[in-house]
Amino acid sequence: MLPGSCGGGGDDVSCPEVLARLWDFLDRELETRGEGAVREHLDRCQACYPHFDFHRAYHEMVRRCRQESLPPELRTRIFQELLSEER
Amino acid sequence: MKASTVAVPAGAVRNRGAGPGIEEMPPRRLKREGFEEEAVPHMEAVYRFALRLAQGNTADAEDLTQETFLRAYRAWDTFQSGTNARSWLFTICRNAFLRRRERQARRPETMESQLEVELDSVASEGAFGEPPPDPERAFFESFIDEEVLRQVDLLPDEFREAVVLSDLQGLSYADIARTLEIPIGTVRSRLFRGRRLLQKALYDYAREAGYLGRD
Repeated sequence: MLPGSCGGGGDDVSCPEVLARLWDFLDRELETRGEGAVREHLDRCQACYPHFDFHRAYHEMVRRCRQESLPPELRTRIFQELLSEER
Repeated sequence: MKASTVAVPAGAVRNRGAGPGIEEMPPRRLKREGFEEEAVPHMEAVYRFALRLAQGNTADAEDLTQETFLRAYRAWDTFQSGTNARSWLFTICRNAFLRRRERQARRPETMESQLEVELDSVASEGAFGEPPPDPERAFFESFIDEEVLRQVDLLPDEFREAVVLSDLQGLSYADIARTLEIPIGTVRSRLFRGRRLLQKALYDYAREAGYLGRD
């Protein structure tokens, strides 16, 4: 089932619109009403949902990435430099 | 000159609500008021950002972090207390990175013109008319963190910056726009393309590494 064929119409937001806003939706950058409309569409659209699910999986993975820790020696070195500033 | 509205005893730290109380914080050591409370907590975030700018080079990242905090400390008067110190520090860090790279002049500035073409035409991207992406979402769970960061580091600069600020640092579009000094439309465009590049790179990597099995 390809996007555009889910039968959504009328007041509902269309598949191309939803897909165009997918990242705004995932990034929580949509205003409340727009976010609700996208969410409702995704709840019932079998064509759009896999796109959403795929990108959401990507998002969760990257956000969960453990990044490097600040080396203690660096922190100490920076502090020492700032402490030795005159004012 | 930063305005100080509350007189605090020497060695005490103003309680900002969410953080530890006056009794628990060590006495403030730095002379410039507010720096230790508002800027220093972001040191690790700045280091992580510096690492991605420097594509994993720890020596460069350490230098960048140190330079960032020194510049920030000296310019602390210009910072408006209570606003987003992390974005401000990221901007300083990135500018330091760009200056260093110009001095090194190892490679030319990346041409940005073709990247700005799709400011608001995200919907016209071909990917959205096609069947769902292959492979499926479970494939993202096969990576270890270092592999992901490595692929992030290989992204072209403009995309790497945007993806890092959004997906690794959690900044809003508005904060990313401010940090990179670009319009929000450009932020969206770079995120869209940068993420797609990263997803493809991860897919290619996984296939070569045998995570996906043979076709």
